[in-house]
Amino acid sequence: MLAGTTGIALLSRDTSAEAVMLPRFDTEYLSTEYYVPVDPMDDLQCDSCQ
Amino acid sequence: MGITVVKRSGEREPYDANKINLAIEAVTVGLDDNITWVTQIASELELTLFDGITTQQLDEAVIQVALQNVKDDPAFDVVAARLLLKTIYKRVLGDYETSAELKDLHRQHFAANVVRGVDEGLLDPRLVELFDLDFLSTQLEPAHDELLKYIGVVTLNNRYGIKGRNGDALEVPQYFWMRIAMGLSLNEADPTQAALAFYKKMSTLEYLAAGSTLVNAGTVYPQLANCFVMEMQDDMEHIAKTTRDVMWLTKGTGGIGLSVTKLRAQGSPIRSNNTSSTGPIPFMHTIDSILRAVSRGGKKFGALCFYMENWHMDFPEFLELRNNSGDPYRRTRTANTAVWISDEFMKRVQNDDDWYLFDPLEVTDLNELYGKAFSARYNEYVAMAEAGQMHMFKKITAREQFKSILISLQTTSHPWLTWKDTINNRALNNNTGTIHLSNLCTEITLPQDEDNVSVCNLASINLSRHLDDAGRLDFVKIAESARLAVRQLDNLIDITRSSVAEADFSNRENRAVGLGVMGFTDVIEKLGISYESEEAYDLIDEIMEYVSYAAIDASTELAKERGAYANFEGSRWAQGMVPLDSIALTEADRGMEIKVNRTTRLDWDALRVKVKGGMRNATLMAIAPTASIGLVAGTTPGLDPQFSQIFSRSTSNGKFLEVNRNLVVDLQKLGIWESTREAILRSQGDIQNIASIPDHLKAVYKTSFQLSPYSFLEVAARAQKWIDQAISRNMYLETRDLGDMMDIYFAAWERGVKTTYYLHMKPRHTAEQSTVKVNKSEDIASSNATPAAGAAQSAPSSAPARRGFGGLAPKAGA
Repeated sequence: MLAGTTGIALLSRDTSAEAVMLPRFDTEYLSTEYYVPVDPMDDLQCDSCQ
Repeated sequence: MGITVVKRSGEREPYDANKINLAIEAVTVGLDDNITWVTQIASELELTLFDGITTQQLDEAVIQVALQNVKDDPAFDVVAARLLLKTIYKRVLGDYETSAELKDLHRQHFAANVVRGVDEGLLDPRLVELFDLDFLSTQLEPAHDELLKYIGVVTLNNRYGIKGRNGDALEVPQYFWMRIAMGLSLNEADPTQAALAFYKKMSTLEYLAAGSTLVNAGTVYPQLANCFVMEMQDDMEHIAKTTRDVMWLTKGTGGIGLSVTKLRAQGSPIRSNNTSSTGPIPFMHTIDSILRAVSRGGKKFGALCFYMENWHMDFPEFLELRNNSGDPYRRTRTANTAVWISDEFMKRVQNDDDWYLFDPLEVTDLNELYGKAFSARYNEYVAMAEAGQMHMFKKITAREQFKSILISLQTTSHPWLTWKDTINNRALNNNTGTIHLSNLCTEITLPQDEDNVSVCNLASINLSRHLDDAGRLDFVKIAESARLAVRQLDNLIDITRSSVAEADFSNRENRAVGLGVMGFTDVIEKLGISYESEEAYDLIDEIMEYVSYAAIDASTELAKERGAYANFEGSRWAQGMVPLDSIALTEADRGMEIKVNRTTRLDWDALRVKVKGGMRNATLMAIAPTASIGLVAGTTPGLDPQFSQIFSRSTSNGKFLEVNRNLVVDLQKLGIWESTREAILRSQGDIQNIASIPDHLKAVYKTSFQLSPYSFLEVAARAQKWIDQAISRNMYLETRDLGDMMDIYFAAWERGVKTTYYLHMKPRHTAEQSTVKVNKSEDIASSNATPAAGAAQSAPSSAPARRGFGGLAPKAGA
């Protein structure tokens, strides 16, 4: 699928109970060389309202 | 071996590198060094090719290659966005060569596209009947798509664009904006001209309607309202009714706030069958399960926040709802939680007094009271408890409970803290009853009862699209956007439908809307202002004054044209009051000063006179999180700070790398982007320890955890001054000290902030980075060390002296 994937879409969205429960601010593996921080805000949470 | 490409028809043709190069060149027009981009993308693309690749896979591969390079230059995002747009154009409109041809294709296909949507039962037939489609087709401007970033194109296309019954995309972005504009003009005397005006604002991203509106406007299922706020009554029938309502509202994509304060406590007697109640927790778990059952095939869970007042006997268990451990049947894995806090409680914390928990069955009027009246009645119940006249009660210290709340907040990011007395005392529509809770995102503050499920309809002005050519904020344009947005929101009320009669009733009677802003940080970065500076505080103050003034004025004009809202008489609006005036009312009731600047710039007396004559809407303003539409707008969400200068953003459409373009532009101006980008990546988007970046930029580009939390409060307080509803105020804290947290949340209350939203704690640990290549260890070590001299500014003057739990001296006024 073209839309919805990006070159850095390394992980599929995890909607397990644990993933929803745990604040998701951490770093993630960007490439063979770097980690980058992950924004904790969840667009889905707010999507219903705005 | 030669590589062949499989076309959509199934036909094979040899891979033509030149054709690809030309396509890449076409999407790099106008960018610096476009030849370099073409060469880089083309050569990296070669590595991904394989024999039998389809044209769609080839399109995808080119986009992926462009995205892989965004970390080196955000211009690659422009390339990716253009490439993706091109594939969408081709699918919906067919092939084209020039921009003139593209515009012509937009015009040619528009009417037929709308008719197809109607014929397939997707779009409202009135889109064909009421509008001059041929005229509107000539007004479509595909050049506006240039404003979208890659993440915006993806979000718009995947989440909001209409698909045909066979799954084909029916809309290009400009068709999408026009469809929304038309769907919000159905009740206008001249629908075509109204749609054109709305289209021009939204397609240029100057303001955006909210998520539910973008999903459903112009369709046959027009649930356009965004927020629903309800309370559960203490009887079985109403619990069942609420459960049913949550299902329907979730189906329609609305966010829900639900108060459970009125439900009797666990162990409370049930006379009808001579047994006792299980309390609210199991019912909350039931509704939590529903949020997963009605979930668009499991793709999107329902979104709801439970509210409870903290005098409820079962409040300690409420605090555990989001815990990972414990009985899963007494947890809410999906629903959020928020606490509805009184001034009485805050004063008891301040004075280190006791706090009593009651069974709502025994204190049935408490939930309806606020401010001084609540305090008086609460103290009567306390006296009765001490006199042995209450069946159930529990006594703890107020500080003990506040600590429990903060510990829960720290570990689970819940419950969000909201202050009921500030909210009720500042309400201008207080003639329609008590406000018992806020909504899913804590920006809505509307009264509701058994007959009224309150509803709010949202839109947000994109501040970053209101800078003039000289780079200054254009306040005239902001006012113009606010006025048109209010008209658009008012239209929405007459068009939207829900499946809950009490919601439709409340919507009609109150016509509540919430106009907010997004892109505040984007703007101050462009202006070279630090988030934690007096300049930033004054700026948000001024922005919101203009938004507030224009929105209220527009509502008075609409009242002249269309009539005042049904419950206007008896409201504080009818007394000529504006949001600013309600601060004094709150102070008088609290018996304490609200610590917020009171400067005004506009002629509010003139507006007070107009307001007295009639308002079209019970509420006008609220600042939503805009975490989703902010992606489409390509700006920073709401009033939030920059999370990091480079970070990964997780969305329902995948993960996206975000590089702060404002920083890149500033570094490019200094000629140091090329030499610093590697270091910025290594330091995970933190520029504070990079020696070659000047201090003035370090002050502007702090990350969310580097800013003083008091700056978040001050920005919120200055905005709240002008807003009749509330603000989704995310908090970011580096400290884990409970005393510090106590001070911060106390300061929020003292400054008149109505609500706070998520609390994000800085992680104690990050992934282990032990290899030489991955974020080299010495750089990580240095980034955790003390910032370079002059790099990070100290906490702003707005931070009060540290008090903590032990430092709060008892004060008068309790």
